[in-house]
Amino acid sequence: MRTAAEKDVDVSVGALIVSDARVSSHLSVREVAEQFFADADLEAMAVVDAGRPVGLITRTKLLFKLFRRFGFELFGKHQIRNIADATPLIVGEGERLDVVIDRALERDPQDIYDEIIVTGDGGGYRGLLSVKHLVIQQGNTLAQTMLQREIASERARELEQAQAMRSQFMAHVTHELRSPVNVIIGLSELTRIALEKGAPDQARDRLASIISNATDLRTIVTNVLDLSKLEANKMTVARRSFDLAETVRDVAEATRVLVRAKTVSVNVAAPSEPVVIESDPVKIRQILLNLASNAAKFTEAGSIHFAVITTRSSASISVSDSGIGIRKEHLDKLFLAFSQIEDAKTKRHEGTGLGLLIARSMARLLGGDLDVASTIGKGSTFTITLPRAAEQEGANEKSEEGHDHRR
Amino acid sequence: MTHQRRKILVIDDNADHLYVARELLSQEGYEVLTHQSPFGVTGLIQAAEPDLVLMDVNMPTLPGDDLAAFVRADERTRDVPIVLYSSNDERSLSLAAARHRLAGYICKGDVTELRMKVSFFLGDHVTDGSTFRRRLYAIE
Ligand SMILES: Nc1ncnc2c1ncn2[C@@H]1O[C@H](COP(=O)(O)OP(=O)(O)OP(=O)(O)O)[C@@H](O)[C@H]1O
Ligand SMILES: [Mg+2]
Repeated sequence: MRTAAEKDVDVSVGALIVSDARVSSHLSVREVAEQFFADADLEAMAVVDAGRPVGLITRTKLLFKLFRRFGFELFGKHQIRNIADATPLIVGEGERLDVVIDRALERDPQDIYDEIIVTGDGGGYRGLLSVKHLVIQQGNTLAQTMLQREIASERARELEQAQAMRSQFMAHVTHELRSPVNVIIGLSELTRIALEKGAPDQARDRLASIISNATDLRTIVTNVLDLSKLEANKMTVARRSFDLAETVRDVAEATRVLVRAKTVSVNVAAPSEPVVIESDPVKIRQILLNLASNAAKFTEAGSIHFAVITTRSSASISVSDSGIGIRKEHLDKLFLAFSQIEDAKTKRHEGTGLGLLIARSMARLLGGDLDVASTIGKGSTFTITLPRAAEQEGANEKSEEGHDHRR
Repeated sequence: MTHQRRKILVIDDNADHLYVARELLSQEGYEVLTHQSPFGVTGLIQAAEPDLVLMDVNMPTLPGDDLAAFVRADERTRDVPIVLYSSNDERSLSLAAARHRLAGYICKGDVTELRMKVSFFLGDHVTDGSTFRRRLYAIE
């Protein structure tokens, strides 16, 4: 006996075809490109020969081929079958939904794209399926109640969002790393040219630029490595007892150097007796330097104030500035990677935009947290809270174990 | 044929990238203009009438690919070939160039590619390619 749920899953994919886009296998690449250009919603087409599918061509793949190097010249006149994927996933229209999804997900990663070709009984082309659509469909059939359905689609949305954020993050990182590398390559070539021309002064200037770009690059690399260690739970913690107040005074001293050219005063309010805590002083220093450099960067006049407050079990350090402040609607975004820019392509910042994310992740790794309060135009306060002694922080210890394990 | 020096306009928000492009391309004998902002570009193109524009993509407030689309939408500037010139992934550049129907893209950081492609986009060594591209873009 089958339950209602099982019966629902027993959907055949013929009913879920989303498009019947096709091109003849004899058309030229350029003619197919024109079709993609003419219809912005067209993502893929089956390549059909005498009614039967012989391949699949997607917009992304075609445009990529055409716009690579001298793609137009190389491929334009070829028949589309030469650049189409000749072994797309093809399923019969009577196949069951869950079987097709399994087959779609089993493909080699480099062969995975969204479209699947559906054929009729005689092998004739029927249309295309979208894997994304199939998965949503399956979720819907499986979910019995409205609530389950909502949860399923909420989850799908979250996954999609996480995916989008990850790839946006990757795009940022790639660009941020490549940009100084590319300057360095260009300047090196120019240095070579200058030396060949016998212009040592010019060569010297260019070398100075190379060094400065390489230094920027090192900062970015360090940040990105820190971040990936934190995300992979591979950042190790080295705890010992130390005087937190002294660390804060050190950082304040460094901050005075940062604001030297401005009329900004830097002061510290901390207990006169040592504030001994058991934590990782190197990481705490790094977190504080990060906050201090932000405060220095965004404060033109007024003050930067460090305060250390302790209770029996915890210590907190706040860094307050009288700088430009942060809009309420931006507060949540601060701790996201590259937060000050909504769009990768329009960002403009000194630094990588990873500082606060790293600082908060490190504070949490130490069993504490990092929070912010700010008024636009008035200033900002960032506060780190830390446990005074190491507690049972499973996560950190585990991270060290994981590290050893890998070796 | 008297040889009129080809003029290239480079737009980038980063001074170091502008310096590198200017020096490398001048070395090739081109006349190079640089502009360190996405703003004021259409006016500059009309005034300077460059033969080719190299456009950075990641710029403050106005991404280069959108700016390029904007320049192409203006009939006074639409005929200047625009090439994206950026540190982004080759794939994303090729898609952006295709989406906005630009002349193409060049990846920063490869000096040989820069030299070759600039001369290609200026039509120096090409016969068939440019006719094809014109045909492809004429569908709008
Ligand atoms: N004290 C502050 N006052 C005003 N805005 C701030 C302050 N601290 C951070 N911000 C805002 O938050 C953004 C993110 O800060 P974050 O430290 O993560 O990156 P960044 O300073 O831009 O780069 P990095 O620290 O990696 O060099 C800043 O660019 C800025 O817009
Ligand atoms: Mg910072």
